[in-house]
Amino acid sequence: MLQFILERYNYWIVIILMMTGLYIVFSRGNLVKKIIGLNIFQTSVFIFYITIGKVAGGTAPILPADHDKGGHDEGGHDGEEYGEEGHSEEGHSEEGHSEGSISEAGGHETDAHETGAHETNAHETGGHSSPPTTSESHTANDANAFNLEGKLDNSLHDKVANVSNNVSNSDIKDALIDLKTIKVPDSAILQDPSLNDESLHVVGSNLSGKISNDELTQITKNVDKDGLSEGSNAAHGLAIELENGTKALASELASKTDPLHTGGHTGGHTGEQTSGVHESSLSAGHQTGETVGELIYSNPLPHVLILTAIVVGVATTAVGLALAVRIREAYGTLEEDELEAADDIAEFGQKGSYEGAEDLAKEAKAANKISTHKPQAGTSQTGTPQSGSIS
Amino acid sequence: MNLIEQLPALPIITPLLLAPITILLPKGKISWLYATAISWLIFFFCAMLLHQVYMHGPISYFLGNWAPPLGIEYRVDLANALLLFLISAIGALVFPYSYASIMAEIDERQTPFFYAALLLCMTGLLGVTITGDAFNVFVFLEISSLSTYALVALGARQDRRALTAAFNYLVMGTIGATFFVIGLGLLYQATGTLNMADMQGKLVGLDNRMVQSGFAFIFVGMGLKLAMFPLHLWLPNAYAYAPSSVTAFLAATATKVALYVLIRFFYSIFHAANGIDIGSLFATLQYVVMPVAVIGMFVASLVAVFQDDVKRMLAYSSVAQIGYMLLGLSLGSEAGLSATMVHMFNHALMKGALFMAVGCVVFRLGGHRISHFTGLARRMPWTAGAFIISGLSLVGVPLTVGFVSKWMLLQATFEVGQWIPSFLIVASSLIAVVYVGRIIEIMLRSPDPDNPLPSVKEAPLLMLVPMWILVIANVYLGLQTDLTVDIAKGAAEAFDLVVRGAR
Repeated sequence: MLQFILERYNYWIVIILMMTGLYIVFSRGNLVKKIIGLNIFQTSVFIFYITIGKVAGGTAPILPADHDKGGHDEGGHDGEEYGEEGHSEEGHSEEGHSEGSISEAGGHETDAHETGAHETNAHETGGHSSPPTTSESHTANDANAFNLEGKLDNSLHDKVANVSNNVSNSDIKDALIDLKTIKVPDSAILQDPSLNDESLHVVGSNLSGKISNDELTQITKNVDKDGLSEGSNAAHGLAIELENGTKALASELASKTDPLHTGGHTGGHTGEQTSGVHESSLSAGHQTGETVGELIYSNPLPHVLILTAIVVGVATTAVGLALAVRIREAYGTLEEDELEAADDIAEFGQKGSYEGAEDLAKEAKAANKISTHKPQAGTSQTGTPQSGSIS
Repeated sequence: MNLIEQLPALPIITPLLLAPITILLPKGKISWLYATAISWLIFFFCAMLLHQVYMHGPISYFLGNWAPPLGIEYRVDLANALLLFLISAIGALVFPYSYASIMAEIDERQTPFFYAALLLCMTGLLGVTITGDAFNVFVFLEISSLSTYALVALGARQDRRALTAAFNYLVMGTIGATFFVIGLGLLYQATGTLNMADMQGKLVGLDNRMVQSGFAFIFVGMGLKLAMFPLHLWLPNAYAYAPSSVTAFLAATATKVALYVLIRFFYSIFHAANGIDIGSLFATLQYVVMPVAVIGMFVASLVAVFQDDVKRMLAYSSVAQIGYMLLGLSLGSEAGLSATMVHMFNHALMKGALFMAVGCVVFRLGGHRISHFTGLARRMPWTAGAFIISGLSLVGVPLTVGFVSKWMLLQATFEVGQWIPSFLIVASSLIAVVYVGRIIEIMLRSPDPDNPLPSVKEAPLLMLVPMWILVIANVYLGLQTDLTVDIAKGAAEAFDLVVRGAR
């Protein structure tokens, strides 16, 4: 129980702040205090959103200068660039999902502490990232795109199948080298002007979707089944290798379709998918107590949202305070009951004398205190129900 | 770059960029002309959009060409195209109307600010309607709300209570918007997306406490914004003390837009129509929305009867009318939904015209108490005529639009066998007869021969023409029912369509 409370301490802070803020808004009669309450209330929402964006062990979504350098040079610099783009995009979908899965139900959350976490995690990521990919493939109606997709798809499938078969023999390296040698069919298809942004995009995401969702989970499973003590290690390595392989592929695609400027999209998406798997193996790596040189990014989207909400909050506060100033000018007070009393006098007594408002308010307050239960002379004449009367 | 392709972005981008310039313009006529021209331009864009959608089906526009789940999508189907058209049409009428009215009611030095704020308010409302991104709804909602607070407060020159009304509206509105954001955060946590269509897909089969609480937060937040019955306390004062043209604009558009958001979330995201009960939607509709709607239309109508202030009376009547719309929504059927859509449109026509008529009275007679309406039929025949016709429309007399929407609503309640609400619809319409009849009776009262009222000039043409356009629309669309009903039925289907356009 205590554990349950302590693990979610930021949510408790959110709830406490929220209730405090709302209480101040409702209970205080002073208009400025109301605005302060409103601000506290809004702050709780900021904290809530920041909590959403938090990823365990994650860092700010900014690329460190020396990140991922000097690794595999097959991809060349372009490839790495595009791959990186995928990396940063990873934050978008991947982490959103993983957050979702954490809070979805108790079951998935506790998985992280078990040995089988590996597998479920990979499944999780695969399952969550697949819907957009598959649906996008439906929208592709370009024959050429399908053509290209088919070619790439087949060769990739073969190689990856190879990999997963070989894993049981612990011959990962060879298989991966095999994988890296996949050649993008250098044909007129790529130069075809009818291949527009969209279709290539689809091809890219399709390819990566297929690799990452089906085969990679398979591979990961196989590695796991081997029961090696460095199972997660191997999987991690595999993921890195695979990622680089895909990067290389992406960059190749990119370089060939350079005039179309679509490389970024393709590479980005391929990278995104692979890195999803990558992340899952990474968390596995954490379990076995290994230090991993890769970076996890916290989810940037809630932070962007909350920046917007902060701007809105500031604007609201400014308008509210400006109104409070004007109210004080017009009424000479900021206390809600005095304002109401002044309005009552203005409505039923001498109408709208701005200068004498302050005195009026004081008089009215005194009058209110004396005759709270007596029907006031003014109110009976019209019997106008104020807005409060029906609430 | 084809301009037609960019059409969905234009009604938002144009005023957002051009509105701040209004402040720099000289006060009075020039800034008014400028703002009016913009409002007509937006009306033109929205009319084009409605035409495009009516002819060619829903439009999906990717802002900055970023594909939907990551980028922001503007999605225009028949439902929001209709609402866009409505908002921009009311805007295009209110801007010409407001010139004389605003000159009389607020400080002339403030006029450029007034027009800029009104333009921004319109932009926000249009943005809420057009966007397919859930967080964008919040941003645009706050753009419109913030400018609304300022607009309401501008009524302070007439009556200082406008300031406290604006302040209360600000507090309530901010709480509502913040609730909405909390709900969105919960939904984002559950689904990992903010795109409405995407969210709908991801929510299927995901019915846990988090989604339910997100749903509840959004429901209450929007309930505050649309002045759902127990949460309506900001509305009567805000409408009563705002400048006349602001009231006419807000009454016709603001609550409708919040209601639209609620419908969008209920039917497109939580998706009652296809029979999936996410967030205990059906139970909410039946046990929360319907009672609230029924009580609201009854109690608010009753309170309206005892109002001494015509603007305030009409404001309470607005709360009651929102009850009708919520009732149609709560039936959970397509007939109910199309009745709500029709009533949204029709109510905007009649309330717009009624508040404009009150504005004319304020312009000539300097007040909006019931006593100012004495013998108005002789003193300002055109204004009185407009008030009577649109008042009858509010009651739901045949040959007016009010009859069409009430008829549809009754049909929808009969269809699902809800006898009590249908009885109460009729009963509360009878209360409407009382409060509208009261004003009409006073207006038609023959002058006291001993104590003749001073004669007053009719309101200027610039105010009469927009008002009478709305009045004629009231009657014309009451006779030519096919047009609105067709579009509204298509709109009700459009909510389904988002669901079926499986992403």
